[in-house]
Amino acid sequence: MKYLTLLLLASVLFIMGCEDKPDEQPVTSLDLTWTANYDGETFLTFKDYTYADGRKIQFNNLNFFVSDIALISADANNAQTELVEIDYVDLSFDETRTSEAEQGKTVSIQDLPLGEYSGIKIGFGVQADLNRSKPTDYGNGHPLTRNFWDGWSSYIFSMIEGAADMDNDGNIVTGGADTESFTYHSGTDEVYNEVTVSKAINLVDTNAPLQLKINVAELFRNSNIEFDTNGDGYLDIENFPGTHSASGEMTIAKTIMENFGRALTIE
Amino acid sequence: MNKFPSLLITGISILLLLLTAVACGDKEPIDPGPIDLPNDLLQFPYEPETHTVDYPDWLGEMEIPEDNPMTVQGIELGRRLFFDPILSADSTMSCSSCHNPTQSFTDGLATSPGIDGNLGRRSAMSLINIAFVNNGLNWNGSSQTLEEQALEPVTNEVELHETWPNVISKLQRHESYPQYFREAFGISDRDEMTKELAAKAIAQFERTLISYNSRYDQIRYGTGIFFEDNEFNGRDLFFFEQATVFDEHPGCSHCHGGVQFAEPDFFNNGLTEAATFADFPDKGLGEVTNVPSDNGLFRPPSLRNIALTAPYMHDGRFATLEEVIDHYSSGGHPSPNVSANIRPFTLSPQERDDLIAFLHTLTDTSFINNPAFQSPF
Repeated sequence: MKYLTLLLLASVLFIMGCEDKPDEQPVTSLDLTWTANYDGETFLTFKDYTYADGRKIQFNNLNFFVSDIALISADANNAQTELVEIDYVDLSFDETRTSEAEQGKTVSIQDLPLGEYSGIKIGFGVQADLNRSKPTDYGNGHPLTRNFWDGWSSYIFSMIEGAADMDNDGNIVTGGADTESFTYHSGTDEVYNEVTVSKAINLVDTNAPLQLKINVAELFRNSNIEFDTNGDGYLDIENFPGTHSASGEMTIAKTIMENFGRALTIE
Repeated sequence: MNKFPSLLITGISILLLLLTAVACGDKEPIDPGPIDLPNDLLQFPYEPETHTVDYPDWLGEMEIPEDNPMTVQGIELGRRLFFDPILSADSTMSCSSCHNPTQSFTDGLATSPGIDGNLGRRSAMSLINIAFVNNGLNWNGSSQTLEEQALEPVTNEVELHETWPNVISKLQRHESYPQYFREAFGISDRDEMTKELAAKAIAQFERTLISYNSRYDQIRYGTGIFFEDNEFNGRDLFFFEQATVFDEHPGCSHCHGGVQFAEPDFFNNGLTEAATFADFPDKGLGEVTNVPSDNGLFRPPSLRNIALTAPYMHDGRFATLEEVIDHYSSGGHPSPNVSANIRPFTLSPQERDDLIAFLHTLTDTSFINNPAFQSPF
């Protein structure tokens, strides 16, 4: 009996020893870097820019969520490799932080399969499953611990705040009874915007960062004539100085979120 | 030199101490005697009991440092230190002098005088649900953790104006604190009593200061009661979800949103007219970050128990909630970085009363009356 046991044990060890180990697929890392510009100029808060209709405009806040960023494989099955499930991107840097604005926000992704990819998918906003959660579901430091509308059970997908020379007197008034501020807060599932950008990406051992550039000026491009009373192709910021994504102004919120796709260039 | 007498005296002293401990029981404080006796605290038990903070899930996740787990003994030591004027140079003031439980851990003053009678720059913030603040404590976010924050008032010249070495020396010679430190942290002798351990204990106590039983909580989180009409109207004025930007609306929840009624951010709420970033008399967050556009920004306080924490703002400039609302309805004062959400609005007297009625639903008297939060002295 003990010989049988010994034989059985030896057999098991032999089989285990000869079992094929799965091939370890080579992996690499990739940095995604978000930066903002205003028609090509480094975007800085509290700096005067010229809006599409010629008036002065400045910003004090630019932030947004991105969801489900994935690379799309170049082969026939177009399989997706997830890079980021959710992230909060705050690109609000004043002129004393110009170098930080130029460097932008970087997220590093590890253990990506080497190979060729044909494009990248990015969701602007908080994808629906995660948008069912709330800040108290997460620990300190998680992207989704802020910018939440409790009453609507939605995150604020993007916040664009600032002020503009609404009365065209050459000055921008910030605060007080005559404030010329604007606040564009876009949220709810309805305005979530997923875009896919075609771009040949070949991941090798060492990869240059993927630069994701947002042209803030393009965020106000208006596809809906209702809010483009000037007829210049951009949101009439004077008469529509904001949105809370409430009924009656949801179109503005939706357009801004769609414009994130139009404002994006990838290098 | 003949060492026999000193050895004999030391031996007898230790024997007497042991006999005293046995006779009086482990919990009884002892005469500390000489403070340099090695391992003289081993006579007391170190049997820390884990304390699980009881609060509903909807309050979120409390971050507890791994190196400062909450124990019954640690919290009790922290409570004693919090209420004990031994932390001040002249033994006249404690943490509780500015953070009084009956006023939701504020002091009812615009700015608080320290032991020398000098006024601090800013109003004492409420400690309500302070354990859930993760983006920097104090009005300007200058402390990242409760442990770090607890060290500061002791040495602040306009607060307790003491030194930590003095405090530790007083605690080492105290009849009870060495035992309490032993029971909380397992130290062996008094030399191991440190300011860091004192701060840890205070932080443990502060993490217990949790409120979740206001009238608003009872309504919002389902106990079957409802707002009165005026409270409900006030609720709609407080939260901005139903308002478009074309409506004149207080929109309080832009800065006071979330379950704590305080966004984890810093804002300029238009209190001070400033032509440039350099013109703010109190730089607020800018003092900490050295970023000019952070000047004049402050952490929004939780509005829980706001009706009990007058006066208001970081400098206590407003005596009443009515004054606060009037400030915001005016649009505040111009400055380069005032929050874009501070916009003028008009409220009728009834609407203003309704908004205040809503704010009163955030009052939690069970919090201020909780026996565990009161002075042990």
